[in-house]
Amino acid sequence: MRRLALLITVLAFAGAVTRDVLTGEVHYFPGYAATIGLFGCIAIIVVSKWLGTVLLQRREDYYPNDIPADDQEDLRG
Amino acid sequence: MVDLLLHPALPLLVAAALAWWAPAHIRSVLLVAGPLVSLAQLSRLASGTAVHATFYGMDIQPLRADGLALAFGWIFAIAAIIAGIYGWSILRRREPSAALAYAGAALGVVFSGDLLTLFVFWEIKAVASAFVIFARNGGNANRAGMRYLFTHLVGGKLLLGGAIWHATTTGSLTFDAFAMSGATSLILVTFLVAAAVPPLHPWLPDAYPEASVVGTVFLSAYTTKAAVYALARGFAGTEILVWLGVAMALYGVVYAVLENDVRRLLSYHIISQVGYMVAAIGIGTDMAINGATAHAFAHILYKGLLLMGVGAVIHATGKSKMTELGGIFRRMRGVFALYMVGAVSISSVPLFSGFVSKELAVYAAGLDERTLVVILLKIASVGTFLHTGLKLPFGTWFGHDGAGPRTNEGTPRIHVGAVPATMIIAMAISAALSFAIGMMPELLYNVLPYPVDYHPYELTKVLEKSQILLFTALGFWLLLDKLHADATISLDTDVVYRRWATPLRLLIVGGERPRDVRRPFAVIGGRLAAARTVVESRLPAARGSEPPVYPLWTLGATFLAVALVLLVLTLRLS
Amino acid sequence: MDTASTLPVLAIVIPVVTAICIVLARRTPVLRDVLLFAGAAVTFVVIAGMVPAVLRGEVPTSTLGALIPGLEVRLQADGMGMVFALLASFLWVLASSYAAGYVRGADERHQTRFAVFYALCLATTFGVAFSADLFTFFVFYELLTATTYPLVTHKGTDEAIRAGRKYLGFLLSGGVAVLLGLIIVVQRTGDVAFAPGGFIGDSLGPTLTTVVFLLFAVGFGTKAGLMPLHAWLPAAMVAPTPVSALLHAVAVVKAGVFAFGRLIGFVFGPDVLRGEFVATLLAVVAGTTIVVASGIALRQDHLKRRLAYSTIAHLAYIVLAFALLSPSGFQGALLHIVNHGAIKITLFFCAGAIYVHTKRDRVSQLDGIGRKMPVTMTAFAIASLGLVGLPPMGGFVSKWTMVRGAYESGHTVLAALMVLSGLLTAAYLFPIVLRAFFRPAAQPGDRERDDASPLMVAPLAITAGVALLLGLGDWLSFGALTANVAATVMGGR
Repeated sequence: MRRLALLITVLAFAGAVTRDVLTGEVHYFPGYAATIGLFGCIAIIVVSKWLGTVLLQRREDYYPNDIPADDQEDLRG
Repeated sequence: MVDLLLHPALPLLVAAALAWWAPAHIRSVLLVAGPLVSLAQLSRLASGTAVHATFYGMDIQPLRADGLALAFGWIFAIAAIIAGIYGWSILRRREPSAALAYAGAALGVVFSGDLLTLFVFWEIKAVASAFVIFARNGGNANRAGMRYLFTHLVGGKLLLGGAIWHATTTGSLTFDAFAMSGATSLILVTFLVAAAVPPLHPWLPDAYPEASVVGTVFLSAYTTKAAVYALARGFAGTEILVWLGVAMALYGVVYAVLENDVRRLLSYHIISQVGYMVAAIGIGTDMAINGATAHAFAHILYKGLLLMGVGAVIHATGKSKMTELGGIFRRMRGVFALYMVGAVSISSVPLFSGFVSKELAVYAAGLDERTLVVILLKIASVGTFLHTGLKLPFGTWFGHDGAGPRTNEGTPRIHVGAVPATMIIAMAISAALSFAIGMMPELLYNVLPYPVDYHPYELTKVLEKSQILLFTALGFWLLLDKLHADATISLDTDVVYRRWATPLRLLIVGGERPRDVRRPFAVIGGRLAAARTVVESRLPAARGSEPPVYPLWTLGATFLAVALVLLVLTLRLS
Repeated sequence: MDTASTLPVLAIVIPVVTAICIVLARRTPVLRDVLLFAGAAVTFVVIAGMVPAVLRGEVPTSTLGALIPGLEVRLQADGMGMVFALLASFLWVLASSYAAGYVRGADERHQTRFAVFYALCLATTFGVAFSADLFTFFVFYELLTATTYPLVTHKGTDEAIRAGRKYLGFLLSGGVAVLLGLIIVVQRTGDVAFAPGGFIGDSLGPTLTTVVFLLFAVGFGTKAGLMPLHAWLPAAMVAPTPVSALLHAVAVVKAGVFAFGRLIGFVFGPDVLRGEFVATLLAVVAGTTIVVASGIALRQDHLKRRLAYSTIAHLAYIVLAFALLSPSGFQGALLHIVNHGAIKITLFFCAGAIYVHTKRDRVSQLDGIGRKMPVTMTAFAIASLGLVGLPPMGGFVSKWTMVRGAYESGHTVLAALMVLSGLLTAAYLFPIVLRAFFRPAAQPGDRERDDASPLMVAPLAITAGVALLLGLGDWLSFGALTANVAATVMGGR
């Protein structure tokens, strides 16, 4: 599954770059949109996860006096 | 003066007062009827209408309708109707009244032509929205609502100080584009607080997910968007807003990655989306203001839809965390489908509303030759699709359990209750509107304050957006195993008053001491706590029964200290 | 533009006559209550009847002859006095209905004595309002202390007696300071008639001006509850609630801040005080009182005591606004006398209604009470919003005007203090509203709707309505009245 995903991604990326080069509709650089989409996505996940691990994430009962866990029973219809 | 009766806030405020006393079924009717009347009034309110009046000797302008105000007015009224229908059968006792006053005050903000009227409605909006949160009557709503209320009260006080200061120096109360000064920067900060610009934003993800499912839908529509309107009116073209907006757009996305609670995740995306609007206002060209307005319009519709969708899930399951949810797709297909309309709209998939609004705002930045801004906003947009379009629906409806069973028989892990038809109807209306705007952008562009010269459906634009979305989806697929939600919460700037300031609060107000007040200011916290015990032993017991017998020196010392500081400041600065 | 008139005298005589009638009717409780109400209503009509004339700029005046040779007792209904008297008489009408409901509900003893002194207390309040000179003012000011004493000690318990002793101790000492100041002023100036903009001029010389101002400030500061002279006020909370409401919203403490208005606007005048260190000092003491009293209010669980500290803070607010020496500050202070009056009497009425109806007097006992007593608690909520200075309640107008006054006089720090202190008010009032409406009921019986007696609920609903109405526009002409006064005293905007 992972491999398939990787394969498709690489192929699609190459396709996008090729199309840009062939049609000459180059915005900044060939494959601009694909780069934003793919690497933007990866960057967001990696950076956020890293920030979360080193800095931001805490146990759910971190704040005193708040009702912990998934207590939404009162909202149930 | 007769025009004042056409004020769109009026029917809502009247309905709010009635709903406070009315019996249950009447309350539901009022909640929908109020905004309907308001909508009718809007249709009769001509652009350019202005009503002047005198209030305690001050010249005010309680009603000013122009292009910008009307655009926001329309969407505010529509949003109230939809949210009202959504809540029809699941309203809590005080909810309709609070929600009506809230929506009414937001309309009042939009149509106020002077700072006094603005302040009046601004504060009503703050209090009413806090009541919307309190109205849940359970969970953490009371505590979160209080934090929310005080944040906005501080904002309101800054507006009060700023407005009066501005009026004393310039002699005018008019609410129009401001020149920067000490007074107007106070006003600006007020607007930034209400627009949830980091680091002044934590009230939003803190409180919105703690309201009832209906309450959250109401909340998502007004507070931040009223602030966007106020910024567009007063501070269009203020350079700092461009960068604050970009920071917001990215900030919300980062936190959304880490978030587990579905409504909180969407709350962070409100911050992210409002970032586009704030950035556009910072650019300040006609095109950019159009973009901000259009995006606010579309955003209210699809964000409402998204929150209605997850609200329906919470209503049916009593759960709100992705770590708890999953495996309910087969039992909630309709809700899922409607949610996805909202998700593709916010992700600006072509044919849906986000594509004609968000891209307009980004395009305005491009026209202004701000390449970096454009790129960063596009990356933020990737994150939006990633979370609201892929991660959240995956975690909520599928997750580790896949599509789940078709019925509740065999007692699956999650029992799915019924979702009232009125909730589905409201979502369908919202979805239809989002789709209609995507299909026929003129519908939206015609209500914008300035003429629109923008054509969303050009091949290059559609292709570029499709590529971005496609590769985001591929990235999601690649990193799927990294995207599972953690059962954690994320520190935000509210840690300052929720944790670090606890010793100080205990010192002043007294009360029970929580388990641990350590990190990260353990030392200061410890000192303060020690000081507190010393001082507290001298002060009258907070819950004592006898009249306070003051050890005079304690009171006297406090009094003298405060007086000295004040004296020095007064003499120095006056 | 003085006009000879008996109306100001009538405003004082009618309550006295009412008191006498009540004594005569002591055997029939119903008649007694009706008399108290009727007396209040007639007084209100008399005072309200003078409003058009005062708005036209006339000053109805009556002279009663000399009490001490050379010192005449003179009464006049000028704008400032009218503001105070109008407020007091209007609230008295409602308070008399409320008091009837309260003393019955709480089954108080000595109801006749209570009603008599209630009426007398109001008579002296109108005397304070309508005094045309410093001497007359002083006489009524001291009489007010005397007539309120039996009300404070009404319960007759040890605690009440102690509180009463504290009350007399503080206020009579304050009176002595005022008397000293008065003697000096009389000696130096001869004529002590109030004059807009002050009558003292430079007749005292710089040192004596400071000393006399300080004497007056200390004297009036006791009644106005300025810290550190406030201790009698929370102690006096042992009195029955109608008295607390009257003490705190209308009569005694408002007489104290009213005295500051007279002192600053009509005795010394802004021209003398501007640049004087003592004026800044007064502002600073008042500002400090706001902060410290609000801080203490945060810690009170006893509802009436929390409201008492809130009163101290808001009186200091008014004194601070007077001390700003700017037109808007003066107008805002007068407006806040009115708004705070309407709001605080509502809050006390609510506290009393809750106490009489459920025997609860602590904030922590009020969980979910909004369900049981919706009208009372809605009125409480409205009044809370008003006291925080939130629109559309009247409190917002006075706050706006006072803050404008601070900016006009260039006191940015004090402006910031005034603006932000609303947060403290919110911090001690909103949790009560939150508890009442959004917490599960404390007792099962609280889920049913069961409000207090209409005799009490109607007045508090009306005062809450008035507090709201004051913020919706200048319908009751207080804005015009106070603007006129501020203009004559401070010389226009």
